[in-house]
Amino acid sequence: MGLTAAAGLFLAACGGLANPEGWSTPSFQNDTLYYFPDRDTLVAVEVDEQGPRTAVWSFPDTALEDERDIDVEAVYGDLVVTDDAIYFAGWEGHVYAVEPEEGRLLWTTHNRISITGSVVGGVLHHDGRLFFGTTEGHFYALEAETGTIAPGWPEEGFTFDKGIWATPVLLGDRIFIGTMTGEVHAISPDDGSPVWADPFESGTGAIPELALIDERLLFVPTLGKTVYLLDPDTGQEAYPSFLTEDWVWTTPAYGDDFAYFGDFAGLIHALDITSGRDRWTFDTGAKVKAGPAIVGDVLVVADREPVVHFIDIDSGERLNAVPLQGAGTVRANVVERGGVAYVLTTNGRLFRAEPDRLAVTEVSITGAPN
Amino acid sequence: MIGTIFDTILLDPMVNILVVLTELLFGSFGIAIIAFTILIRIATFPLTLRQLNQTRAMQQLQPTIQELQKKYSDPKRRQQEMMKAYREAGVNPLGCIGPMLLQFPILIALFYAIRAVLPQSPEALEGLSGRLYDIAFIQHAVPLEEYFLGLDLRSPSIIMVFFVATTTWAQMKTTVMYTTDDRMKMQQQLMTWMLPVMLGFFALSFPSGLSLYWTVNSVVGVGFNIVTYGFPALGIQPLISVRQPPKKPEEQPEEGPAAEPASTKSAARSSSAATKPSRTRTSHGSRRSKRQNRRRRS
Repeated sequence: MGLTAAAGLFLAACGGLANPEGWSTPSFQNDTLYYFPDRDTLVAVEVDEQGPRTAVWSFPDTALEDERDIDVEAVYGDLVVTDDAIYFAGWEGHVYAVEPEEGRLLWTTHNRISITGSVVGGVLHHDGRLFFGTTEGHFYALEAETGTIAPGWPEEGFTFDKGIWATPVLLGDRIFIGTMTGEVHAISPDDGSPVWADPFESGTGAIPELALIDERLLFVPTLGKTVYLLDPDTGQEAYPSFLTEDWVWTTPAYGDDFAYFGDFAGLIHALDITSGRDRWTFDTGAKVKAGPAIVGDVLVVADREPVVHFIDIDSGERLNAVPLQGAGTVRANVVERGGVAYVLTTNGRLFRAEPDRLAVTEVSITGAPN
Repeated sequence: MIGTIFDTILLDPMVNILVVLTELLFGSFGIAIIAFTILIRIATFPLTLRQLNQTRAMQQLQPTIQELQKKYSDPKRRQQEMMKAYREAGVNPLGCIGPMLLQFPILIALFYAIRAVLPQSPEALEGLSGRLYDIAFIQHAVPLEEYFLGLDLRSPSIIMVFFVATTTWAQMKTTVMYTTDDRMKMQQQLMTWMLPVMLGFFALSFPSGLSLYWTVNSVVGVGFNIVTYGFPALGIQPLISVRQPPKKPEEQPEEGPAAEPASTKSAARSSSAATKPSRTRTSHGSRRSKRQNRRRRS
């Protein structure tokens, strides 16, 4: 019994649950950068010729009565930025609409709609509606203007086996949903009715991400070390499945018939989507979660070490590698703007990776919460 | 370095066993936790039994030890006499620590394994990738089903807090403590209540999966206690006899030692030991002296 007591005390001392941190990708819109410098605060930063400079607002502002009770736990999905609102969903299972100029809350589902489960993927904005899935397998549609359940859509959403972690993808009049049971469903955005005769079943594990390549192929990575390229019309494999060294949990960068993505073994793949075969692979030496970015003829990759790699897109040769000292790690996708790739680290630091100089510099932002 | 060894030898195998058990046991992680806990307790039962033997023997030697402590003021001599008493009783003072030290990493690893397998956050699931063996059966199984009997195994649950507290109390209650020291008795009685309350409090922040492990662990512990100590209140006799230290003839209990409750007889034994200095050398049997043997032959 003494052993149990000692173990209990020790475990309690070491205890606590793993805290979600989020890995939402920074988003540029006109002259503004929106990103999460920490897990629960959205910041808007003015961008000039030199890049992002000054934070103009942050959300939520606990000094405001409307935003006092807002507790964003962590955000994983990409932001949806429109002229009228910025939409995002949090791990705590709430969706938010924020006014883009001043950063103030337009609406939230908090205390209004009961959403079952957490949200990992981002929201999909289509035809005045927001679509998203939860870790409990519920798939919801909200009115983008009001945040209420879309007419004709069930209050509890449509239910799928296991969870939905991938951001839904839209093509034409169908929405594609990846599930953690390893299935891909195609449904109608109007009433949720299935479009394909049967869902695609990977048989090789969970599908944590989903992406559309060149509006003609569905990129379906799995935690079973396999990537599928599906025909969106039929839900059948367009090419034989592609085996990787480890899990793939990322969205690819696409250019000139090639999809570039990393796996958890640290390999970067250049996948020819006209044949479903590798053109080249590059070993970063560390797990890769973040999606890469193409800047000209250079592929910019950030691994979990974190090290920023500049890779020649044609040959797969490394041009340079720059470690980011004391910057945490990188899980958010690398994003390109104006010939520069931006890398956000888990401790909220933003870096510019410049392929012209093969150099990485930290972006100094004034007024950001971090 | 130590962390890597711990991960490779204990944590990672446990994570993979839990995943395999889940796949084999109807995809239920809850059933896998129960099965794994029982397997671990059965596998470590020889260690548990050895620890019970040693602990109980140590407890029964307490009157003699107290007597020696009073008798000898010189620390060196006192230590020598105490070691002699332990040796003659066939007790190793460190004997109960060894099995405990062996079980401790197993418990800690299981704690971390449950936390690793349950994806409490996307980061946690991402981290799981490095722990899974490169076997398709295992790789394809994640993420595991988080619900068991309507319980979210990732989150704390009030029901599981109740079960953790009550089963810990039951395990404490069925553990027979042999002590003659009133202060120790009071401490033990206090612990019987304090420990369940403490663990219940900790369970408020533990994932229910861990609380489920703790509950099953305690239930199995209650079973082991009944098997080794019996349950006099229900007239259940012990099924396994815990080894006793050798006793002087006048101190032999009338009935089986394992069934004897802690209260009156041990107290009487204590007072007897206090008034009559005990002889630590046996007067018959394999450890008799040469002089005794000569007397016996003559």
